[in-house]
Amino acid sequence: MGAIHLNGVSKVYEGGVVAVDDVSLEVRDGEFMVLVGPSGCGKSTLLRMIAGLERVSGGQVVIGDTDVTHVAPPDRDIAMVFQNYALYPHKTVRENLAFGLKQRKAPKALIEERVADAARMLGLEEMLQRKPSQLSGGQRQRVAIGRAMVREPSAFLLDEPLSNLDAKLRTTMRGELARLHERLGITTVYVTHDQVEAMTLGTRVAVLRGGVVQQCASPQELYRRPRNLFVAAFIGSPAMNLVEARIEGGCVRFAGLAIPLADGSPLRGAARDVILGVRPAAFTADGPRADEALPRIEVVPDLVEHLGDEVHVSFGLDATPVQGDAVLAAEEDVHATRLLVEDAPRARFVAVLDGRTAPVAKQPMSLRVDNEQLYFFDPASGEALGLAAEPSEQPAAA
Amino acid sequence: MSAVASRRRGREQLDSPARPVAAGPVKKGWRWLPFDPWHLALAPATLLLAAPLLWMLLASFMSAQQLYKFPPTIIPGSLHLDGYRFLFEDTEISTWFLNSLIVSSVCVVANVLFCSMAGYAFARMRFRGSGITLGIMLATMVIPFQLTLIPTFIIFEHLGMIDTLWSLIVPSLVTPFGVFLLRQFFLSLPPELEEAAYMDGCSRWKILWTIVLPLARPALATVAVVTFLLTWNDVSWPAIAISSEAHNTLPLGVASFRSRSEQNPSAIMAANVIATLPVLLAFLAAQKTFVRSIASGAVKG
Amino acid sequence: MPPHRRLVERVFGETPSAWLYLLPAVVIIVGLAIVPVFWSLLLSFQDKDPIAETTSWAGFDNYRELFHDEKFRGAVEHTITYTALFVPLSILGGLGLALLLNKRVRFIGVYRTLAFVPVIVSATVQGVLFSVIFDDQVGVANGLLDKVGIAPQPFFSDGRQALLLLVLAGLWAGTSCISFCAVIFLAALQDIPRELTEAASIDGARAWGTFKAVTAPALAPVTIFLLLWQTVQGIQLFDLVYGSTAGGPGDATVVVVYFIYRSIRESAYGTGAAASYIVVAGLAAIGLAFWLGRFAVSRRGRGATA
Repeated sequence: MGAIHLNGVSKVYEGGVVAVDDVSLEVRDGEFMVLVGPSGCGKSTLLRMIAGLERVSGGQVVIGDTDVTHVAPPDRDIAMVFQNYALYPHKTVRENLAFGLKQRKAPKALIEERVADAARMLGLEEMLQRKPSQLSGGQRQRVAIGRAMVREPSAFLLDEPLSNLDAKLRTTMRGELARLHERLGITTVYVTHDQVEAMTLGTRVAVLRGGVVQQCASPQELYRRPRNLFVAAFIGSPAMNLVEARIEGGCVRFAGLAIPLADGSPLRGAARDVILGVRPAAFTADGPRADEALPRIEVVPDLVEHLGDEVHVSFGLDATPVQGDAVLAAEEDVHATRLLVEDAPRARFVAVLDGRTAPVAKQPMSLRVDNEQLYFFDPASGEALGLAAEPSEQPAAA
Repeated sequence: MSAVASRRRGREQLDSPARPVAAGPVKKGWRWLPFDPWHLALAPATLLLAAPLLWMLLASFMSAQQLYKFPPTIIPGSLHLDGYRFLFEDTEISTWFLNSLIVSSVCVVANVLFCSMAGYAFARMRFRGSGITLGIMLATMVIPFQLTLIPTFIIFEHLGMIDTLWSLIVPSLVTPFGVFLLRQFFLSLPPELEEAAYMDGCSRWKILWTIVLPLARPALATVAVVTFLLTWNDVSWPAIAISSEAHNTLPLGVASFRSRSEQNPSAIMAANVIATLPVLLAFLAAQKTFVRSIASGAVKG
Repeated sequence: MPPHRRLVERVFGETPSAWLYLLPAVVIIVGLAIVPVFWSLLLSFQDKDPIAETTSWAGFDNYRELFHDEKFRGAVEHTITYTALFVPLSILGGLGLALLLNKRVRFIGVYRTLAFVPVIVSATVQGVLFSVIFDDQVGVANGLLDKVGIAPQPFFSDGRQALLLLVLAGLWAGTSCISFCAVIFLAALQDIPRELTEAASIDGARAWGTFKAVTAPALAPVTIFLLLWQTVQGIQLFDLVYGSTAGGPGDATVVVVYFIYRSIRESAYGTGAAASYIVVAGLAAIGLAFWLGRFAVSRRGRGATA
């Protein structure tokens, strides 16, 4: 049994700083759970509490059927991969892999076998005699994972394991991690600040902010049905476009535009201020192949970026951009897209269009907006509006 | 003193007109030299500093008549080994040497061990009073030694250790300098290494031995070198604590030997050579470590 | 957490076993550094009768006697003379040597080895060596003077010259000699990022300008360290005297620590302790002056020649 239960877990540091605030979370047996959030959100602290490296100030940590809240790390039957790999520099790769089992006084033959297995699986056979300093970043990463594997623990804990690799290698290793998990089927808790990693790896993803779990769901669910403004702004790249708007008479009005709400929307009858969220992918270029039924808006792009398969078009709208601290916190940490030239308080939108369209900067163009893909949030609380009506998706769908 | 002054003047003459930054081009006026003009200052300055030692080595092979001569001369055919012969036949220099060796090596081992333990506790463990204890330990580094001299003497007298090697060993078992240096080094190691070992099932003590200390070799070498240098060369405390010939350390023996045998300068020089040789060899073998160790004394300043 | 563990933790903190790791260090340092400091103070107010083996409270008698003791005043005077000459000369010499050794020329490794060797020579050996070189009868120094036509000097048999020779010997070798200062300065010089000197020279600074703008400020902290360190070393002078003059001729080279050494040998503990406390008071005064000086002068380094 490798399920992990966190029951109301808190961490309060000396001086009263609350790093983790009453978190309850269930990691099912064999599940790949990703903890994601901006730096300082408490995700690493939470992981270290599961590992036993950090004391729990309140609540319970249960691994399998055992309450391990006060059990020392070596007795928790878990293995951890650290951000900087924490390979023993004075030991060879083989010694690094074997160290954990050796400490547990495992029989020699078993150690040999496990090390050989792990080395084969990770392609490390050629370099067992080398020292970590003679390895590349990716190889070190493999050794770190292999060191966790040989112990065959009931759960893996990974703390930002890919953040020290360059972009290309990170993508490769991401795929390998996913395959490895599929093969071994061991419960995994993975911490990252990168929402792409979270979305691609996680069976489920828990989004944390300020030591509180904002939403824990499958990647699809997080993307499709973010529970609040923070999750909406955090998940997705480019980020969701957010703007202050008003719903009235079955339309959402902003920047002199009025977009009719989709037919089934529970907000059709409402009349209230909202924050409108539009995914960049909800736009399509108007043209012969566009869906005539979708509402159309006219924009003047000020920046066009061709990425091959897709085109990113940014344009300004005369509406108040959303500057709730929730969105700012998410943006600053994740996307770091602070504008060098700050212009008037205009909302900036990004649309992701098909790569075959050829928009030109400064040339007016028209876009269709998929009004099924509009998101509404309460301006005061940031909670999502109009979600309740739709049936709750099963998280394991992915 | 005049030598120092003249060397400085020599430096400044070269200094003011042309002080090439980095390996800059040689300035005009010095081009006629087949080598870098800095050699003109470096060679005499460094030779002057090393001269007394070189003379010491030469003098240990001289006869009394040659000793007075300048420039110093030894004809290879007439190497006088009388000094060394006298030393080994008529003095207890081998006992002194052994005493020094015992004191220094015990202190080196003890310092490496005890300073590691204390430094590790200060670097990685959270316990009540750690800040104050460390502060007090650091403060003792600046206590002038004459202040503790008399009570230390009385303590060892009461312990019955005065005039034994123990009185030389015990006060140097741990040095606050070593504790502080190792603490700083341990702090610079990534804590994840120790956490990984902890999760692999190592105890604190085992983490210290199998993970931390192997990584701390450069810092441990510094502690060993400084301890060796200080204990081998120390004479102030031994001069007070030791009174019998048989328990003399090498520097003590050399000093007492000199006052007894003014008539045999080459033997005195031979004793000097023997007292210096072990440190000199260690220095030449591990010059980098030595220089870094000596310089690390200023880190705290 | 089980309750019994809690109690231990409340008293000793999170990791009570830390004290086991500290035990040897704490025993030695408390026993042989902290206790003696206070004991010494107590001793300085006591008078011990060496024959009757009794101790009596002496109040400030020991101090008063010392102030009227010609020998002690001489010792203080010699110590001050030695320190006043030794500290500036060693630091200036060390700075010059370090600047030379920082040049990147061929054989610089050999030069550095030659220049650094004196650091490892024990002061006793150095004292013995200099007393032989500067022996008024058979010393090679007089042989050299003879060669260049200068009359032979009395050297160590003359009180004034003996003290000056001690300064020279101290500058030449031991753990506080010119070479030691040079090691420290060189380490600091090599810590200066090369971009900094390059940037200064690109900005048009001449050699002297670069020194003033970049090198001197970088050396200021170690210079202050060395000033303090060398002063403390100068005041604690013992080994050289022990190895060369043993205080002579007469009492011309008796320095304070040598005075204390003699009083221990004579079992005059009270006098010795009082003498050491007077020296410490002097050191504290110097330290205070330093501290105030640093306070008064603005934070900018005064340069290496301070």
